Parts: sequence; C-alpha cells; structure tokens
Amino acid sequence: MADQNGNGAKVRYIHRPNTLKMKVGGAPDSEAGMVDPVDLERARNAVREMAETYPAEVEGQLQKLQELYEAAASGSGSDRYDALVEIRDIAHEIRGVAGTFGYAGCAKFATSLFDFTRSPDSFSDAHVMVVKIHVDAIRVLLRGGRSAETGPEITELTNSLKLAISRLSTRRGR
Amino acid sequence: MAGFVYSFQKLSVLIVDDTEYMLSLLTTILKALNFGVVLSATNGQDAKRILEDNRPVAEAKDDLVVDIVISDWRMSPGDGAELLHWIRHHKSDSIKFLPFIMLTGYTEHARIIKARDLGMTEFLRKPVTVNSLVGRIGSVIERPRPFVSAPTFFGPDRRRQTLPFEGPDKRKAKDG
Repeated sequence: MADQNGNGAKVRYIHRPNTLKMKVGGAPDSEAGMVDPVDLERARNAVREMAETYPAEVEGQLQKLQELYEAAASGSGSDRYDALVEIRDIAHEIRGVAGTFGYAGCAKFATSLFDFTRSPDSFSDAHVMVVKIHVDAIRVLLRGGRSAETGPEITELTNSLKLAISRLSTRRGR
Repeated sequence: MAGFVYSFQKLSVLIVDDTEYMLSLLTTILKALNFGVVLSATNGQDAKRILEDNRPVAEAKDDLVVDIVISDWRMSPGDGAELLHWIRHHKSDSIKFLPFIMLTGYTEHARIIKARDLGMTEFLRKPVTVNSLVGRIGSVIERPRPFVSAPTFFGPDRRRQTLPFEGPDKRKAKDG
C-alpha cells in the first residue's frame, strides 16, 4: 500500500520487444546497424541544396522583420507589444533553421533577439533600439552570406549591440 | 563494425513543428534517408489528431502507423511538452510507448530535465544536422530503454547507465 507520497508503491519496469530494430532489418540481438552511406550523402546533398536557396527563401521574413521593427519604433502600448511578439516569433524561426545551413552568426543573433524579446511588455525606445541592431545584423548576415560573419559591418553591429545592452543595464541599475 | 544496413522504408515518422521551413527541412532529410512515411503537424493539437486517426484498431505489434515522433517544444495550440504528456498518459499502448524525440532550441538544463521527467526518449538540439538527427534515430532503434511505470512517472527509464553500487538496497519500491 502506498502512502500519499508514493512510498511503497509499485514501480514496474516494462521491457518491450524492439520492433523498430526488426522493422529496419535487424534482429533484436544483432549488432548495431548503420545508415547506408549513399542515403546519408543524399540527405547531406539535399540540405546543401536547401542552404543555397535559404537566403532567397528567408527574404520575406527579413522584410517582415524590418516592417515590424518600424511598427514597434513608431507605436506604443499594445501596438508595440504586438509587433515585438511577431519579431520574437520570426527570430525563433530563423534561429531554428539558419544554423543548420551554416549561418551560425545569424543563428546567434536570432537567438539573442529571441531571448531579448521573450517578455516584451513595457519595452522602452532604448529596448527597441536593441531590437533594431539585432534586425540589422540578421539582415547583413543573411544577405551577405557566410563571409559577412567576419566583415566590418558585423563587428560594428556587435559592438553597437554590446553598448546598447550595457546602457540598458546601467539604466536598470539606477 | 556495424552489423547491417538500416532500411527505413517500413518506418513512419510524425514530425511536429510550427515552422513550415523546419518541417520542410526535416521531411527532406527523412525522405532522402528513405523513410517510408513522413507525416507532419504544425502544433500539438494537430499531432494528437493524426496519432488518434492513425491508431490501429487492434493493438497488433506490426500495425503501428506512426513509429517515432519528432516534436518541437514551442508551438501553439498544444506545445511539445503537452503533446509528450498526452502521449505518455494515453490509454492505447500503440501511442503511450511511442519513441519521442524532443527537438528544440531551448537547451537550458531545466528544460532537458523537464522533458526527461515527462518521458521523452531523446533530446535533439537545434540547429539540426543530418548527423545529429541520424544519431538520435539510431539511439531510439539501438538503445531502447525499458519503460518505468511509477506513481509519479511513466516513460523510458531516466537512468541511461547502470553503475555498480555496493551497499544495502534502500529503495522502498520493488521492481515489478
């Protein structure tokens, strides 16, 4: 009989037959299998092909990000909040995919933007400026390709971002 | 040395993500790997409907329509955590024992622990690569853990390795 904390209650271990292994052509006790190298290469090639078209695919999101930033900058209250929530959602999408296609820098900025806009209520103009720097950096990185990650524009934007965030922290500390 | 080459043709996977591009990416990879069926849903609610619709009437072992679920965490309506909870508490064995790979950009330790305690099978961090995806699917196939049914938990055994212990057994519950 178990008490109210579950002490003394029955814990059961359930061992199920490994039907997945049998479905992929193995036996329950056979050695570990492997993925066909031809299939693996086909999958990698498919990702490479998608990577080549990714900047064009994401162009619409970049435009949307710019429009939303402008809406957040010119709006206030719930209008600003709604725009920032949409920005957060797009940042979430970009961060999930960009890294897969080798745009590590872009994924990093998108992740930072997503984290920054997690709770965008009562965002000031200074907060929205931080959003703008993120949006600019993502645009530069996606339009400029992977070589843009080490370019002067990104170095400048990274420094601006650090400065803008430190100013925010200083204001909070006051 | 590997024993045999996988044939994924008989496997079906349900991928759940609110991003169309991510769905497209995962579908492309899985199709290139020759998975037989790749189903997709854009949120937890859709995923539940697909699982219910494809549930076999009889619980025949070889009759499962969905073999593996790969799901994002952040979605609406119905996020990945809620979907996982629903799966592990389902009355049908064909659903409650499904391998569940949690795919997410959230990699904080607390998140991983929460997913583990909800009964996830594997954790796949974004950004996804072919190798990381294949690695998690390989783990699901090669290293299935026994399920644990306890008053406060149902899911794959949360201990991934058995370490030797010398001393008296202080556990109050007994293995069933």
